[in-house]
Amino acid sequence: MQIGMYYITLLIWILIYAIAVMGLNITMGYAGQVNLGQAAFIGIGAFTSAILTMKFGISFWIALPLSGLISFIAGMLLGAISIRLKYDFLAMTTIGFNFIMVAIFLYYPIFGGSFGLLGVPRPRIFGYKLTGVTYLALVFVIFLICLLVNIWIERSWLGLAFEAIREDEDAAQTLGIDVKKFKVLAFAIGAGMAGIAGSLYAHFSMRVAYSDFTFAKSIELLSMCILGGLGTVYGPIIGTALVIILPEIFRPLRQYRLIMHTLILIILLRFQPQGLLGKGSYLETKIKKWIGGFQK
Amino acid sequence: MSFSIDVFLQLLLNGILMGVIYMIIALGLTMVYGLLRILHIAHAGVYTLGAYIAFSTYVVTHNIFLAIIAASIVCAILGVIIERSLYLPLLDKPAYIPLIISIAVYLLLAEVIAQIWGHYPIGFHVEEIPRESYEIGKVMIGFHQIIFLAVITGFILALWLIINKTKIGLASRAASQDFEMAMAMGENVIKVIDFNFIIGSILAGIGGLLVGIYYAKVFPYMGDIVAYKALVVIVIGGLGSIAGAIIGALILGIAETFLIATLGYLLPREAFAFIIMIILLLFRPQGLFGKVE
Repeated sequence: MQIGMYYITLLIWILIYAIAVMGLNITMGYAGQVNLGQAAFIGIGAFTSAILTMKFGISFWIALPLSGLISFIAGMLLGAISIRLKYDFLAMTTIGFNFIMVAIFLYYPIFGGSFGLLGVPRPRIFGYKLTGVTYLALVFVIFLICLLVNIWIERSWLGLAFEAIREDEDAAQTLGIDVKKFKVLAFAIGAGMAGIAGSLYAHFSMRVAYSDFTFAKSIELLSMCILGGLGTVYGPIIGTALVIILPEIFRPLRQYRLIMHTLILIILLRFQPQGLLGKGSYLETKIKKWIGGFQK
Repeated sequence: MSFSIDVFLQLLLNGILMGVIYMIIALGLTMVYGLLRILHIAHAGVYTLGAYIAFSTYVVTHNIFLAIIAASIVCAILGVIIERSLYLPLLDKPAYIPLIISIAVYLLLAEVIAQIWGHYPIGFHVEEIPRESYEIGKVMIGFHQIIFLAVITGFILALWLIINKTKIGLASRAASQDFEMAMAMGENVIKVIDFNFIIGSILAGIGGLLVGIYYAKVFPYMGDIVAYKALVVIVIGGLGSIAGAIIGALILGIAETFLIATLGYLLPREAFAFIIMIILLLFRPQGLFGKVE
């Protein structure tokens, strides 16, 4: 029973993070807009959900979409601020956004200061409390919905517009794509997914504190996305699972966890900068060959 | 906002001191960015290591000059290792790849330092620099602050001379203006990049040493604030411009000090630097001294 619970918890974390990383993949992988502040959007979603349920007594089922919406609006705001910025100026603005949000979470009493908000309630369905497997089921359903949205975006005109902006902004503009609108939208969709992940996070860990949404967390999310393969549908999910599971395997070396984590990241990015499933990576060519062999 | 003239002068002095701290880190960053277009966050790790090497050397030898030399050598070597093994092979990749590697290197260095020297702050007192304060009018200034200002001014003058009066300085300026053209003219660009990393890393190491003495302590995460605020400085300055970094550092130090003194109750202190940056970028997306592409 104990071991079963451990795997369920691990799975829940992977799925929650995968939702946020899929969102990041839409902003960065599809639309090519660097976002180094994704953790701040998880934070916005988590605090929105926690405050709505704890201080206003609103049901989880309303708070969940609302926290997605609030993050979506915050994403629009960041997108609008960044509209004239390119490359590293954009990267720095998103870093700045993350630092400002963390400072705000820490400073205003409504967010619970450095302890954060304790006792975020578990969601209930017809009076039945969701924990363990039932919570996993909830997270899985929402994860699937986000995955479907992701696949739809990739295949629709929206994905094409994003791709055009990523490859060549000026060319996209001359083709009649409203670059500004789609850039803002790319930030907003990515942020909205992070907000939903944040709400699920808050009601699972039952505690929300600023320290979970720092810039270092944003970098972790980004490394999940890049390790799997930026701009692919399944890469970010695999990357998320890897980054969460690897440290668990090396548990005995816990004291050196951060050292190992950063070393793995440096080595992987140095030798496979396109990610494990990205175009031209070692695994992708292997899989292609394998499938090709079958077709013969 | 109504200050007496004394308060105003005191705030101005504090602002300049903050600005000078940002400046010595930002100069190395901007030299790297000017050539490679990489946001070199690992610079903050070099800075932290410099502080610790200087601290350990000083504890063993009780000689501040040996400490400076040891920190400079270690930092220069570390800078070149990072450049050669991680940055140069990834120059043709999207900019966020070296950026993330750089951040990972910073986290790695801070963690390695924490494992070697411990997670907690260690006191760093130098006998040669007494902690006395003088009162000029009603403005307080410490002896260590005067030393601090003088040493950094000296280093910046030396940097200015190297860049403007030596051959390698000329090559460095040429390469930062047009990388490919400099290569086409037969310039040894790798040597120039090495040079920029060596100078920048030495400045970071000295910066770490000075800030360690200034606050009388060293700790593994002392690079955290400086790393990102120095980035803010070079973004304000326009990325890659040395004059921009110097002026940007002073502007940020002074503006931050005055904003915290007047509006400090509205928002947390740490947020102001980034708010200043974002507001500036709204009006000048290329920074103060950046060129429009």
